[in-house]
Amino acid sequence: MIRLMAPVLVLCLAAVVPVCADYTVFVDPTGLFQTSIPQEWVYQTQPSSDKLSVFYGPGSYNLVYFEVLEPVTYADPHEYLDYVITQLQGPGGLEGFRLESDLEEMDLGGAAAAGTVYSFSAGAGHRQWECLLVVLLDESRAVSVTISDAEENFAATRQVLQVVLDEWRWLF
Amino acid sequence: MVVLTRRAVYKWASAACLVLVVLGSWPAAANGGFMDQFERRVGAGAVPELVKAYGGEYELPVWERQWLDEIFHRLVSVTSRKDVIPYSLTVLNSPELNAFALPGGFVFITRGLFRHLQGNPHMLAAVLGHELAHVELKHGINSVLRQLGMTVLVEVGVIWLDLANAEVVRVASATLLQLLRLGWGREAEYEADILGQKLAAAAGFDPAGAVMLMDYLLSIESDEHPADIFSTHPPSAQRRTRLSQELANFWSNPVKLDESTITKVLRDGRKCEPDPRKDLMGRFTVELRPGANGNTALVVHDSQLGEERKWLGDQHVREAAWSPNGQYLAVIVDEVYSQGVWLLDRYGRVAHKWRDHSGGELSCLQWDPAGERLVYVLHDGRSAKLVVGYVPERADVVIYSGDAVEEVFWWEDGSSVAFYDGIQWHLVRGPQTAPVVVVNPVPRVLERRSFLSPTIERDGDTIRLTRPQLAIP
Repeated sequence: MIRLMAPVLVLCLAAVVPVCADYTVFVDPTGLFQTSIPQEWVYQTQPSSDKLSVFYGPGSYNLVYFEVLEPVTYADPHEYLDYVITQLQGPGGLEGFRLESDLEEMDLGGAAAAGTVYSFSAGAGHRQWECLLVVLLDESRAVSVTISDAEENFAATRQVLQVVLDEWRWLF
Repeated sequence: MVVLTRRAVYKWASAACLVLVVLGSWPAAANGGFMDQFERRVGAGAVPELVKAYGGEYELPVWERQWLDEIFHRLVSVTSRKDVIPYSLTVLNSPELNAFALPGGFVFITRGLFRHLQGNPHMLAAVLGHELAHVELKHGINSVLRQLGMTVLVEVGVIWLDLANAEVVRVASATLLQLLRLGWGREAEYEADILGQKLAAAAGFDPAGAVMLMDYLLSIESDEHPADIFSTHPPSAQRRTRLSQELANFWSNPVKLDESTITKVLRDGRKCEPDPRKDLMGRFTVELRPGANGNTALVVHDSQLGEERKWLGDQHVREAAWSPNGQYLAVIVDEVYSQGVWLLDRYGRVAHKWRDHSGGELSCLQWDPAGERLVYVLHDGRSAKLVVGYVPERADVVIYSGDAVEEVFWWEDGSSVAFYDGIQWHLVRGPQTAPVVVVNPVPRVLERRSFLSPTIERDGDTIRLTRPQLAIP
């Protein structure tokens, strides 16, 4: 039996080891969730707070951030995301906003989430792409996960998001 | 003998009925109906020109707009005319520091003023409360009617039925724009100040915000920039005095605390207080140590460097308390002719010589749980005054004056102050405030400031962070 399991175990370790080696575990300040962040991504004490955690990547424009939002009265993450996108593309929203993908149903640590990709004209004169996920929790709380980079690097940076999502654990 | 034809009798009877109907309907109309509609139309008629004069509408970023709307809606919810006036708030694209309201509920604030007050919801609520108060008290529409001579009851029969006439509205709107430049009058401004302060307090904002606003106006009036806001108003110093006097009305009279309650609070509640001798990070512990000339000096133990230092040199320091948020160390300093409360930063530098009281003795310095206010006792030889001061502002309020105050602490959430007068414990309840909570907030969209990121180099066990050269992209 052990012999039979060994190859499977080796494969599992192979999958885990890169995460352990290149990623560090991040636990959010409110103890709501944890995930893994690439080691070379640097936590930014500004503008991070109890409800916002921001990491800058090794590039010039890449960043990932998590925000705890409350109170949220929506019961469905898809509807909440729809509302958010309406706000972002409306007056006072993001300049040059463009939706790059449809709103999709996703999973974040076992909780139903909704996500999409959009882009906008960034202040530094380039086009910034972002993937935004929202998940609704009990007690009118929501959590958003955003990964962002310049258009030309977004595909590579998005792979980091996949690890962040795969390693996501709720701590309640 | 006057002989009236049947036709003339009908004519006069109709006119008399008309006047009676108009007079009869006056109170009802004035309270919400025809008169409110007229007010709305006059205000609406002046909006386009006003918006144009101030650079058009300005779209705040959605996150700021949500925050501002929440403050405005809370204020509107406590107005008395909210059911008859559809209040609206517009941000104008002007760097000026200004705000105003038109009859009918059109409230405006410039982006310049919003940006200056953005960090302080209480001051912003004071501005918006003041403007809403003008509409509540009908200062604008009454000024227009007065200007046009339309308030004379004799004219009511003629004018009243004609208020919906487009030409009347146009003339009234044009008059309104002229009057707006002159202001509604000194007494109207004082009235709006007081009602605005009450509206802000009722909506869960600190009424001291109005006093802080006046301090802010006084500070910019003395600079090179003239204060555009309220340039048609009475002097800010006088307004500040009145608003400051009103502050005490938002605090209750002292009520006696029964022994079991105070025993429980003293036993359970105060044990939870952070130690005022230690700063939030636990690095600096302060001690008052007897020094030369009978003075007590402020000695600080720095646990990080493992050394002791004297802050404020040989100044006679009588009390010291770290703010719960770790921002300031408040100290009572004895000077030759006065005593003062000074605020030191985390490294012992004097950030603010916050209060200076000559001929009095200060004691019982206590921070509120948020680290935004200090309560202390001022003994002037004859009486003891309990003073609440806002940090680092100049605004303060005497919440009690009596023979003696021996001990003080902030009650529960920090909205009330308990004190012991040597015989009995008392409680003074303050205004209830609530934070601005945006319902259904939009997740933030952050743009990276790459020029602030350090370069990270690893050399064995050493990590080297190199400060980047500041270059704004």
